[in-house]
Amino acid sequence: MTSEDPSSAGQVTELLRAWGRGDEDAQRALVPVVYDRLRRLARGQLRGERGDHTLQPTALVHAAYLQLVEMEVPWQDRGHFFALAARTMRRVLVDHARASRRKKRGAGAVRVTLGEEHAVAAGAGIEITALHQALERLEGFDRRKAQVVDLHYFAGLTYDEIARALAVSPVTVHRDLKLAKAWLFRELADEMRG
Amino acid sequence: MTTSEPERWRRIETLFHQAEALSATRRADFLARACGDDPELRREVESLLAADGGVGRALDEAIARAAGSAVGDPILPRIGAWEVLREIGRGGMGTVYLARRADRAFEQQVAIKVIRGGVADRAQIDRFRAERQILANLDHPAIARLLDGGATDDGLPYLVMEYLEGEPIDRWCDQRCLPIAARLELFLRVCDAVQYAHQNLVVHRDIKPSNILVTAHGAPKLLDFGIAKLLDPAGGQSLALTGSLDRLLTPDFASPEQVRGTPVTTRTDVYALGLLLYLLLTGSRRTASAARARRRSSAWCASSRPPRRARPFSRRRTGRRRCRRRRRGLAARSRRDSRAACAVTSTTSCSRPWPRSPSAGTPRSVS
Repeated sequence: MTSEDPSSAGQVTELLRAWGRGDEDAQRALVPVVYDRLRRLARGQLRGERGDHTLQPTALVHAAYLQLVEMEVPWQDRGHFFALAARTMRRVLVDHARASRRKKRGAGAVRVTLGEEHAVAAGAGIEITALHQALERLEGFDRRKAQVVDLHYFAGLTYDEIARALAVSPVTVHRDLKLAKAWLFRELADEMRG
Repeated sequence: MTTSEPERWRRIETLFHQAEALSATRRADFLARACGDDPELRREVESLLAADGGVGRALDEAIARAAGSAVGDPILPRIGAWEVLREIGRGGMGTVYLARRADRAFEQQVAIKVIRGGVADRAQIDRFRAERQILANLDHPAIARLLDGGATDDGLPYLVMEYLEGEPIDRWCDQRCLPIAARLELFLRVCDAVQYAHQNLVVHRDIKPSNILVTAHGAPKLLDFGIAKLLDPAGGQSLALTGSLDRLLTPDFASPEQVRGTPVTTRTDVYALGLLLYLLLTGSRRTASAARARRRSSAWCASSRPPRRARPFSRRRTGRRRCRRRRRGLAARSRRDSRAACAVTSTTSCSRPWPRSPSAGTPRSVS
């Protein structure tokens, strides 16, 4: 998305409202705008524009919201935006992981020491691409749970905010997240075991 | 689970939440009753309950890791006066690039470590520069030279080091089945380098096999001298195994004072050298799991099998064990102790290949 691209806050807000009225084309139009904004924000963060060097997916989603959406948007539309942005954030990370894996394969392996053994040990061995695929499967039979996971992990919304965005109770959000996490973890653990 | 079974998924969901609210002992009864003659349903719910118990922060970590890898992937055609050739490694601390002088003043290739999320404020950058200068003055054939350092345009600290190709010392020894005498000889050369650094008031702080490469010519080279201190936000006063430094230190080789967070001294390196010697001679890191388990407890007592029992031979054990004593304050007073102990014991005949193959028969005690 370049500067001449029609992605002003007004237009994004209008697309959100149209989507809220059930216009699916509006959603399709929003995805590339949000994707591009998130990537740009991530790159800006890399260049140190934000003064820190830790990529916080949730912070990026919120920054995208502030840049793309006008104030005074009804909560339902706001929820729509976050759901879409969180999902898009996940895609940004997955695309990045895939690209860097391709690059790494080409680079050849040279031994260096930079605590790499800990980098491996610290994570539970779950790949973001595998998590992404599992979430897509979950979405296939329980869309709301996948959305709760996205909103919680990639948009950093509180239970109350998620509840408002999805028009359910906070208790439901809590239960959804609990089961969704267990389901995802089981899927991913199975996968790791092969 | 597929979309064609929404009813079943709802049933699983209900049972999951009902069972989850029960104590572990009552769950089995409940599920037996609720699932009746549908063992598949029961397995499904049980596996989800088990996953619920195990998930912890696994998903958070996976996402954080993906985000961390995304942020650690800046496109850096140049870093200071250096032209980046390619990325050669990545770890918890940042990314390592192979580079050369942009002005081609000389052709030497270097390794540049760009540290992610490192130094932030002015004072820390100043301290970083001062420390870097001290390290750059270390000039020893067995110490990889620190050539340059600074901050990238983005403010990320970086260090330029001599680029070395080699193998970690433990693997180098094992792959060649080096006899004990050769292992000791290599170890003594490492000791020399550490002693030289200590005389220059520099403590390595993170001695471990992967930080000691042996080049194709068989020369050991210590990497990352003093780097742990450079990267310590607390100014290097202590290196407790907490918070952000957790990823920096190697638990297997961290000394008691590092684990406790008390000031690091030259004895920190002596301790790690002792563990290294243990590893080289026995092929075992057997303190690792015990150390990890004990990491946050205060029970620092001798926890490792004496090398004599791990691989029964020789009278060298005294020197080695002195290095490894875990009781507070009992670490060997200087690296010289360990060197002296080795020098004495290396006169023992020990030219057999090591580790021994099973066919080599029972090792003979020479004590």
